[in-house]
Amino acid sequence: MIPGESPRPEGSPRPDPLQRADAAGSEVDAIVVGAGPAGSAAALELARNGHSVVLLERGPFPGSKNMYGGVIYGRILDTLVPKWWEEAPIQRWVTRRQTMMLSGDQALTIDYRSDRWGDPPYNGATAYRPDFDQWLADKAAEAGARVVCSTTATGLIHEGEQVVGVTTDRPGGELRAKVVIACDGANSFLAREAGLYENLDPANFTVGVKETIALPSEVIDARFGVRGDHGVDIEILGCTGGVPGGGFVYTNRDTVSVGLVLSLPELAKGDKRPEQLLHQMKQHAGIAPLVEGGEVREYSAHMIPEGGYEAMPELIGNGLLVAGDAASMCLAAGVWLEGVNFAIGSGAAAGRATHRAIQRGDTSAEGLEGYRTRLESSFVLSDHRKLREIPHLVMGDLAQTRLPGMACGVAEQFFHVDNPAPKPGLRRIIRSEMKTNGVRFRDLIRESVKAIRGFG
Amino acid sequence: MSGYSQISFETRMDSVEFRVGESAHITVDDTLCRDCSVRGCITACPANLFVPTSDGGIVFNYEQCFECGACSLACNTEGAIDWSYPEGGHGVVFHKT
Amino acid sequence: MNPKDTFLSPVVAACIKWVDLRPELDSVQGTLAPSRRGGGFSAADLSAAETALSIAEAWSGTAVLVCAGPANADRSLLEVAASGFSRTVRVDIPGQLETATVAELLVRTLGQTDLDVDLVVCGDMSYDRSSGAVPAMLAHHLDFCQALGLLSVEPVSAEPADDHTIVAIRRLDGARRERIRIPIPAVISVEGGIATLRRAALDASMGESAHTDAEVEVRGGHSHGESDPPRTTPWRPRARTLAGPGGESAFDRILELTGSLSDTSPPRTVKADPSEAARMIMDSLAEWGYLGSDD
Repeated sequence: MIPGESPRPEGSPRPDPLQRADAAGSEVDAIVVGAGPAGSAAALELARNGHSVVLLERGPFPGSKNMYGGVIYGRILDTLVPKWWEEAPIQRWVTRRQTMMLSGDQALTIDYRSDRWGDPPYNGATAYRPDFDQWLADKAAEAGARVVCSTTATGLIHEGEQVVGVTTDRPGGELRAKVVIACDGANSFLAREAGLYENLDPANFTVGVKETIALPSEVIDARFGVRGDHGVDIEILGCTGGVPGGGFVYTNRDTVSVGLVLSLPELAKGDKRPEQLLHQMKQHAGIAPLVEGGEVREYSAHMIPEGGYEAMPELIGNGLLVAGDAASMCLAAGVWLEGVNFAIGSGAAAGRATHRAIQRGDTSAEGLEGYRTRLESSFVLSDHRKLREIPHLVMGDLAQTRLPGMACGVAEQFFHVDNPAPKPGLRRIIRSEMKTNGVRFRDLIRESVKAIRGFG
Repeated sequence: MSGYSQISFETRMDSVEFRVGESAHITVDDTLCRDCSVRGCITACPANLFVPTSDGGIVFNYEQCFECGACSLACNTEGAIDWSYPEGGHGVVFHKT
Repeated sequence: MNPKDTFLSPVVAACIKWVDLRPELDSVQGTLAPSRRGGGFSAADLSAAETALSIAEAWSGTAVLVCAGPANADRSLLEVAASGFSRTVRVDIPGQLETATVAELLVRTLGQTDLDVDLVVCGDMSYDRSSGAVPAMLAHHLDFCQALGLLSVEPVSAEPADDHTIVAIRRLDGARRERIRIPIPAVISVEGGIATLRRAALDASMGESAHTDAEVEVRGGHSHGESDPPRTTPWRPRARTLAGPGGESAFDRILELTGSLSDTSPPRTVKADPSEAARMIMDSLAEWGYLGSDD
């Protein structure tokens, strides 16, 4: 009911909101499935351009099904929500980035810090996804999108070749639209149903598990060497007990999140369960002092589409776009682990492309082609294309175990004082460590060339 | 505060809110599991929902599912695991992730 | 639901309470902090909502939703309302209040003539460790019949509508049940799990999120000044110091602790009038150290 409108007579049925909103009847301009960062960005763009948008969310509130590995790079929000950093529910601003390599009882850390990252416009931020995703969905709602929670989209409605809506699990649950934007997450049933995911390969997926551990904020400040709203993000290699993957630790205001990302097929083949591997990592001397004594506030798990560029589905169908995790847009390239920014970037591009297509009256795959052009000219696809070799490189055995082992070994010998024996030369140390860890010179050269080429 | 003992799996899962729906969103055809040598679902499921039985079958729960979908992707016996999303508003609810 | 015969069609109110379903416990301090998004309704309240809807349907009446709760209850309240309630009223209750106060505030709304409620359906308990006495107090204040903790509810229609009744089953001792007939107006409360709230239709859910603020009528505002003092800790007797047992050996100390082999004053029986008896009890308690000297 619009404020100021006279109350309807008692006992009269609730007016049909669709008729109220759209003179055309039971069709909206666009349905966005999934109120994560991609979906909310798409709905926000469309609503701002005056379209009727329904944003469907299967959880009881946006973000309730979402979990991630820690850092939101928010600059992509600049165009969507000016001065977003003043209102977004951020836990801490990442001013310290570490890459840690673990091997046996050894740890070698590369540590970068810059307090400049703690001032606007900031670099990375940690946040609880239920808070952040709700905030972004509220932005879409304020712009006029209708956010409908607790509603699972169960399938697509086709008319010939064209997607013309979705079915939901609610009574009277068919909803029609000119365009459907599938932002329905890593498992994207909608993209699969539409036949856009032809080569769905388990090897392109990892399982992420995470503990959110409660500790007083002063303890976190002291253990991680930060103050106020500054925080730390640590990416870890060599901590996954032989299963290809990686680990992470990052700080929230009064919790520390610690988790693992594990190759799905290798995890399935092995005999160690994710929480056992996580416990193993937490006991490593490099990690234990950071998290010990805290109470596990929440355990969580999610699947991550890590295949990158090569693993992406078709992004465009007739009346259908795919964005965010549903389009496999997580960037998992070793030192870079990003997803929320790619989700927002792709969602916003999908929203804009849909707006143009509706304006021109052509919502076929051809009419929606602007989506791909937009993605290619932005960081979303250009980063993914540039770094398309890296996921395989990072998941390879060399990067997973042999390199961390060798790096830790070199550091140990280099810094270890073994008087009265004289210091060994660096060249000899490297040679002996390569031998111990089974790193062959030509492997190293080959992978380094790949890495240099891959990272561009 | 020294030492760090592993919490039990039950304690771990108690930290998560599940609004359990009335109908199961996972079904397993365990006649197919009897011929499966890999049984990836057992280690891959982060919620430990798949449990082997002594007679070679698999019993499963759906109540504490994280809805990650790892089981159905890891299952290499086509059609043994049928997994979809639970009814809207039900299932796992994260608060601090 | 025809607006013309509202006079004849009964109004069934589901009366529910918004609670924090997942407050956060600080295990060191022992304090509870409200969760950010953990609010909702108990299973009993949701089953009351469904019961109210199906009774209203059977009687061709109107179902209204009355909720006690703070402003942030509105989101989850509207989700329940979308299942088919034609009106949603929230009685603004900002925090934890005494049962009697909650009941009085609800009665102020339920008793209002524009609602003209014929049947109030409550859940038999909420999740916030409160007394569960609100339904009985509502019946008292509204001067309605009451039937509480029902296991099954079956609406029976009659002519004229004033003669509608409810046939219900409730528990008796020894796993027996009794079947009762309740005339309206009445207050009933139902157990959780006797009904599952129907899912709202998609169009109703979409309406629910369109103009959130305008759809909930807020009533019976409880001014923050008159809030009951919060009960922060349970009452407990004060601590007192007990001297440790004397004695050289462990054996001696155990003898002293257990009082074995020592002379004890035998129990005595006295006859006194009540005030004298009370004084003697107080004296004895003080003598034995159960009361501080200032009591």
